[in-house]
Formats: sequence, structure tokens, C-alpha cells
Amino acid sequence: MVRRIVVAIGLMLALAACNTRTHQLTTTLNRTDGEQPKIILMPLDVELSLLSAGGLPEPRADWTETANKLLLEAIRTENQSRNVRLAIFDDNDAGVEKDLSNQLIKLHGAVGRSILLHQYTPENGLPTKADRFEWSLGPEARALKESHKADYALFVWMRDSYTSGGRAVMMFLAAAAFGVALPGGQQVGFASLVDLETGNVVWFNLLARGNGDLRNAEGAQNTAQALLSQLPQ
Amino acid sequence: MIAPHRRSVLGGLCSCGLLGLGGCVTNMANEAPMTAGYRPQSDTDEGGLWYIVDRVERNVERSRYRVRDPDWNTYLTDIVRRLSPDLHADMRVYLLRAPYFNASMAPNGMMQVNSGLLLRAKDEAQLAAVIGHEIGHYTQKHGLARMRDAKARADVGIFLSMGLALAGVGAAGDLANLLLIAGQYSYSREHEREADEIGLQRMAAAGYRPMAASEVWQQLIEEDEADPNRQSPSVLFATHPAQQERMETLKGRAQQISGGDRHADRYRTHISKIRALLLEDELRLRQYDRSLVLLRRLQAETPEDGELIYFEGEVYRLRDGDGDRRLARETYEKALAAGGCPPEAWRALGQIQRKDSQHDAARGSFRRYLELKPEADDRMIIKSYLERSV
Repeated sequence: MVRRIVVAIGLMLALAACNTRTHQLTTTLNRTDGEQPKIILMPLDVELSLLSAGGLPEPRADWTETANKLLLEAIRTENQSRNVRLAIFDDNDAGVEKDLSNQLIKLHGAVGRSILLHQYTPENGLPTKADRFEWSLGPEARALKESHKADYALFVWMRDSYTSGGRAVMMFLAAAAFGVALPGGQQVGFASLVDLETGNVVWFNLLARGNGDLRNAEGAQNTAQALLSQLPQ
Repeated sequence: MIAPHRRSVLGGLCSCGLLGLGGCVTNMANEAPMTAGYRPQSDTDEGGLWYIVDRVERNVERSRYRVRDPDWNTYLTDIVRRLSPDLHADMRVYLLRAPYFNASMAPNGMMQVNSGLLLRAKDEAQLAAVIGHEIGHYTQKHGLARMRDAKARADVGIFLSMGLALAGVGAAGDLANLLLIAGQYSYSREHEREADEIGLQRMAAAGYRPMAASEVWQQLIEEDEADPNRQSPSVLFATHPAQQERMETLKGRAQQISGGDRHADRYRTHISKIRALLLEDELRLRQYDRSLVLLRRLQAETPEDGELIYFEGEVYRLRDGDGDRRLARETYEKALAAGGCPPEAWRALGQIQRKDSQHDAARGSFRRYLELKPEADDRMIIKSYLERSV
């Protein structure tokens, strides 16, 4: 389901020749007096796969592990030049019950997918929301604020697929014989910023493109920049 | 939502394959059996598969549906060790609170056992039969074979359906979806037969009575036959060989092996600690005909068990058909006369007496309930009944 939406959005964006589309409720972040806003980076949800000739993405553990490390580093670097403090989510941090933080991470996954479905595809728009961007994890998110002494939480979800040799042949044949464009590897993902006072999603950015490479440091930096350059500060 | 569509696509391709276009796809590739301490390389398809199920496992570990009772977890782990002295250290069992007959095995050694299976097993040998079967999936790497098969079919399929490729491929569910629908793994019938045979051999080697495996299926067939809505939600039936055939094959094989223990007493000691909870979950399914078959089977083992009789009364009360109130009342009375009846039977009896305008009798039953369970969550409402003279 998500993949279908994401692929559809990816194609849409590719045709529109832009990579990202952002929704935001604010351009400036709340801050405790005189301090830079503090953002906790939640565990990244990243998966890299190889697209087989038949179009099935085959997960690659080695690439995924590398990408997790590189993207984390790239997000840190990206935020160094910004007027924020970035902290890494610590599962063992006192205060938040382990299960609650796990539930929040899962809830964010569900909310993020709903945003993709209802906010990015006009035919699935919710009549009660009209054009408003109005999504929340609920006040329970405040538990993270207390345990991490942070103002915001940043969630990142990425799926990155690469064209295998077999797939490349198929794409060529499909185009040559039938004039059909088979999708190749794609980089799709989203980042969202949650206000830990209210639980509301205050900023959301979708990235979908047919290029990019999370398997090397330069590519990861490029992705982090594309995802987060519009992040309010 | 997408995966079933994909499956039907694969189904269609399979028949094309049989026409000779994809012979290699329809021949099942056998993977090298599992070895102790095995871990695939991370740059392989198997490594990718394990990576995905490892992530699923981290969620299962923290699941709210997990039964964390240490005694039960040790007990299950011990059964796995008996059945698999060679590989038990690489497998992890998770007991989940789910009132359905099922268990599953992931390629990385994560086994999930539903609480509904515990409720349905009559003895340890029957539980071991299902666990042994799941171990068979693990040792033969059926999950990996299944993934490779799906990929091969999709590869062949793209040649055949090039014209439909844009729609079909765009809609393809990813591998995780394909493999992890509702937490179940569906294996081919050949895999099921192979796992059945391995399970039987491991049972015999561990000293369990091999006939228990066919009994499990016989019991399930009986429940199915009692169910007016035969369409079972269990994923097992979608992929497993016809139950009857499977039951008979297992029976025939067990007759050749024979011997072994049931370990019924040991099982009863463990199940008695959680059975009331499992029965409550069972009743929430509102499949009263199935539940009655189950309860009568358990009662045949221990006829004077007040807890089982009480839950039979609960089935009548909830079913609430013609004559069920009278039946419920008689059953509660029988339960209270037997040993091990929970205090809730007094409350249930009191409610019926109240409806039947037998106020003195109802008051007596409610008082008895509060005497036996003074800290009951619903004590306030029961007290209010008593004060309002019922």
C-alpha cells in the first residue's frame, strides 16, 4: 500500500521535475529562553533493496547497515550549520517507559503513511481537513520531551532501491519493444518534525526521485540535504 | 491489500510455467539444511531476508500481546530443546496472546506460538507436534526457498506479462509484505509435508508419542465441522494440505513409529495457571459451536473440572438462544458442585436468578461471590444489587 502510494507520488513528482514537497505549520521553532531549539533524532527507518528483473525489491542488509550509519552522520553534519541542537534518541534514557517510546515510533509510522496518502494525493484528500495540514501524535508525545529535555522530535523514513542488471535489461526491452517505461530504482522517503509540547506534526517533507545513493557518504549527504534543507530553525 | 492481487498474478504465471515456459520455476529448489550457529552473509538475499525478520522480531519482543510469564517461556524453550538438541540455541519462542490455532516460524529462528494452540492441545505431545513441525520449516530453510521462488516467478512473469508490466509492477508489494502478511508465513504444500515428516521424526527422537500429531488435526477437523461459518480465518488452511489427508498421512506414519509419552500431567500443571485467561479470549471470538467442541474435549480429559464446566455455562449465557438461560443455570450449578470452580460462577448464577425474579437466591449467590472474592473489580455494583434488594 505505502509502496504503491510512494511510487505513484514518485512518478508524479518526477513528471513535475521536482524532488521534494513540503508542508509546514511554522517557519520558526519554539525555544527555551535564550537556547537553541533542541531536536531529538528518532531511530532512522531506512531500508535499501535491489530491484530484481521482475520488479520485486530484495532487501540488502549490508547496504542498509551502511546507509543507516552514513545517513545518521549526514543528518548530524546537515544540522551543524543550523541554529538547532540535535540529540540522538536513547532507548535507555530514564523517564520514558520503553514501551511508550516504541509505541510513539510506530504511531509516527502510521501517521506518516496517512499524511502521504491523504495530503499528497488529491483524490484521497480528507473532506474534513480541506487544505489544512493537521496531524498529531497526541499529547503522549510529551513523554519524550520530558525524558530527553527536547523541544521537537525528528522522524526519518527512507526506502532506496537500486536497479539490478536483470532489471536494467527488462527496462530496456520494455521501452524498445512496447514503448513502456518500467520503473527502475527509486529513492523515496519522508522526514517529519513533531512538536513535543503538543504532539503535532509541524513540518513534513517528502522526497521522491529516481536518483540518489545512500551507499556512499556523498550520496547520503545529498539525501540529508534534500530532506532537511527546508527544516525550520 | 496489494499482496493478494500479486498472488493471483503469481498463480496465473504458475500455470503458464507448467506449460513449459518456466520449468525451473515450478521445480522446488532445495536449500542446504540449517546448521548450528548459522548466520547468512549480509550481502546476500538471505542476509536481506534475515535483516527484515530481525526487525519484525524486535517488535514481537516488545509486543503487548506477548505472554511474558517466565514459567511458560521456560517450558516452551525446554520443549524446543528436547525436539532440537542440535539447533535449539538458534531458535527463540514467543508466546502470543491470540486465540487461534496457529504457530509460525521465521527464517531467522523466531518462532511464534499462539495461546489458542495451548488451549487446544490436550497434552505436551500435541503441542510438541506443532512445534516440531515449525522446527522442520526452520531446518529446511523453507522461508528462503519461498522467497527465491517468488522472485523467480516474478522474473519469469515479466517476460510473459510485459504488456501489463507498468500496472502490475507498480502495484507489487515489497518482499516484507509478501512474507509477513499478518505475521504468518505461508509455505507451499510440499514444504508442509516435509515439515510434518521432520516434526514426526523429532517427536519420536525426543520420546513424544508420534500419534499426537494426527490427533491435533483430528481435533481441528472436529471443530471445523461444528462451525456453521466454515470459512475459517486461519491462514493455515489456505496453504496447508487438506486437513483430512494430512491427518491420515500423519496417522499412518505414527503407526510405523509408535511408542512415546503424552506428558499429559506435566502439561496440565502448566496450562492450569493460564487456562482461565485463554478461555476468556476464546469466548470473545463468539464462535460458540467451536468453543463447545473444544470445551467438551477438554472435559473428557478431566470430567470434574469446575473451571471447564463454568466456561461451558458462559458459552450458553453469551449465546443466549432459546433455552440457553436454563442451560447456563444448570451448568453453573454443576460447576459449583465440582472442584476448582472460579468465584465468578456465583456471580453468573446470581445474574440468572435475578432475571428469573428469584431474589433471595440471587442475593445468596452474590454474597457468596463477594465472600470468595472480596477485592473483585465489580464489587461496588454487586453491593448495589444487594442494597437495592436485587
